Amino acid sequence: MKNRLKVLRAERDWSQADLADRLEVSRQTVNALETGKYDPSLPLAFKIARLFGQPIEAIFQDEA
Amino acid sequence: MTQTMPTWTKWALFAAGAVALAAIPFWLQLARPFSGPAMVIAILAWVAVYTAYMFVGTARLKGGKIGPVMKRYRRRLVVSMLAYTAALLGSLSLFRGAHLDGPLLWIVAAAPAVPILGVLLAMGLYLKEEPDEFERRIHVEAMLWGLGAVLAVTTVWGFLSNANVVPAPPLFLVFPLFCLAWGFSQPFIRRRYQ
Repeated sequence: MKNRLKVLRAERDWSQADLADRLEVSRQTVNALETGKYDPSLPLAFKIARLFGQPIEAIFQDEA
Repeated sequence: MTQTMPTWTKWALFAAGAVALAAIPFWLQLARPFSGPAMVIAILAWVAVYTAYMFVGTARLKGGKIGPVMKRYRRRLVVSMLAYTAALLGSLSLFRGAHLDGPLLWIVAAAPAVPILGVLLAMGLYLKEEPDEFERRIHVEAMLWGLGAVLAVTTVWGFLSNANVVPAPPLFLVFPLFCLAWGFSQPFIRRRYQ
């Protein structure tokens, strides 16, 4: 699933490690999320949405 | 900050090293280069080296960031493996030293299996406690590969031994086989998510 995580992270000048710390996940997890290879669970998606102050659908785009 | 994301190649090298190290006890068992106390020392030295390799290696691959749940799992694993080494050496020396029968024989024979059940419990608790869903998923997938390897090898071996082509499979090696396949499949699974 496509997402704007990398852009949102860059806007805040955070490294992958910074975002990983804020989400309480590993940097590998952030990398897998950003590349769209791994889709987060709903709880993690909500956590990401809260962190960036945006609704989930503004961060993740359904390609269907 | 330099690009330190562990690549699947590093994981593969690490896993290959782990497999090579894991082969040493089998070699010790088959070739028997030592005997008596020297063998005990060799086995204890192997346990120390293997544990250090796994701990330092995974810590480096993770960029020094090991979560509290993984740390707990590692602690449980070390305790279990130390108990296993002690139980195995104790059990073997009792078998050599005295003729055992009755319930005592059962207890001494099964003793080394108990800490292995502890390892199984530690694995289950790790999956239950791991807060990072992606890490959990990697391990679940890797465990399925472990399960697949065990089922494939034992099924083929089972039919071969039915036909008396090979001896009966050594069932105590099923667990190490599961762990090897679990560990070795990880770099390939991680590569898919990069």
